[in-house]
Amino acid sequence: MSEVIVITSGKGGVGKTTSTANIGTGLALIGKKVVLIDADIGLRNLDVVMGLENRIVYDLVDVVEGACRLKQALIKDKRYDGLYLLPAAQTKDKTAVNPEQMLNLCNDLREEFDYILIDCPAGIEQGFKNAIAGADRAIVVTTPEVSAVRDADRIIGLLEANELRNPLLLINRVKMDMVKRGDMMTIDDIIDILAVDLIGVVPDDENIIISTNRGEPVVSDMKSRAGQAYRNITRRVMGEQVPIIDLDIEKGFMDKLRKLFGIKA
Amino acid sequence: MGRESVILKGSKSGIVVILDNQKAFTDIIDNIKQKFMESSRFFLGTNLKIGFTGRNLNEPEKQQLADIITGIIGNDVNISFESDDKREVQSGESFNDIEEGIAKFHKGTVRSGQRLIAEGNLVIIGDVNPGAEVIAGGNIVVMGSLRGIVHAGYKGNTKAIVAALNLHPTQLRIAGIITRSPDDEMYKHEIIPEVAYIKENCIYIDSYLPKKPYNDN
Repeated sequence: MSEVIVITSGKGGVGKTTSTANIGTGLALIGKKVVLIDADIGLRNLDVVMGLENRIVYDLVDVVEGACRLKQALIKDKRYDGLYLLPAAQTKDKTAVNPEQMLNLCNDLREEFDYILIDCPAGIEQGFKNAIAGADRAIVVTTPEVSAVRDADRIIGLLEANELRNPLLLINRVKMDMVKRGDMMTIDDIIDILAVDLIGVVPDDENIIISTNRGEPVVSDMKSRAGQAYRNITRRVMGEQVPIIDLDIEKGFMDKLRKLFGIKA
Repeated sequence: MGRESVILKGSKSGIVVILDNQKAFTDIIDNIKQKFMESSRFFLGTNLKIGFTGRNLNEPEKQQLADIITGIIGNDVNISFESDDKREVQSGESFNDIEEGIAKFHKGTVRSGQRLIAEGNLVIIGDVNPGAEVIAGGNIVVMGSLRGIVHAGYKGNTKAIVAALNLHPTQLRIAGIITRSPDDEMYKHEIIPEVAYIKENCIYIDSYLPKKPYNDN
């Protein structure tokens, strides 16, 4: 049983590509056969985040135009078996592909892979329509900012209009200290507005920037908190029940004691 | 003013005769006679390749044209028609003038998503950024940092080279051979002008300046 999951957000810069790379790598770590599709034609990034940029010869547009076979365009990851990337074209634009072609492409890939993750471009235009065409499920990425939540809400509406019901919410770049001071939306605030199920919360983590620049997804970094969050999300994608991790590691010993005795801080 | 019914053009391998496909065939015959008569002395005694294009000709018409031209210039002509031998006359198989030949000069940075293609040699006065592609039938010379994808001799010329003041391409292709930069390479590297070429079916990269003996303090 293979599954096509689109990772989308509406707003740019909230972590769609990072999430795609990490969830995909996480699934491959568990031993699944995974292919990541970069649907951001003209502004591709997933290859850079995966550290596979220098291996690209053919791309998604070549495949749909019939310039090469699908197998020729799939790039095998340099670290994990069973992980492949189908890169976007950089010198074309979103109109080079249509939703029907994407649907056919996804169906071809279903025969080979357990999970097909599609990295959706920002926006709600043709690129978005292409990315969601073949998807069974959607993960909506947002950050605890009003603008990102607003766009996520719009995207959830559009997904539902396209028969992609019950999208899952991934809240990225949460800063617990700001939430505590009341300067950042809480997870509950966001869920209140969007009213969808949560698949995970990823803390703000400098390791993400380091790993993205190196082309090594943080999910494989056992010490990183963001990596732990993505490992949990991966297991939830596979249907396991994993509790949301407590991001509040700043808690001291006394806080833990108080909690133990049921005293509110 | 009406268009001329016959246009002569020089090409690498000979002369291309472009025929108007609107005008009457007799018009064209007259025009060809006139053009070749004017320059018959120029053509005389040369071993010439002539290609016809722009109009579909039937067999008797082709024969008639061939007769006229051999009648004027003599027998040392090799005549072809577009349908017979289109590529050879129009563009040539692969670009071979890498020692000396047409070159395109591009001023400015070639950025991500941009693709620059030159039929002949290509000189870029600027950088080539990651995500950009520069492609040429002949050599490629970058007077700056080359960090994108580069493809020299893309029609199959294995003698083509790539030279850059700072040669760190994402991917380097010459003719049909592809190489990529090593994975462990990070940001810092010394900047030395280098040249890439094919030797024994492998791409080699060398510094093209002589080593400076007094440089290492």
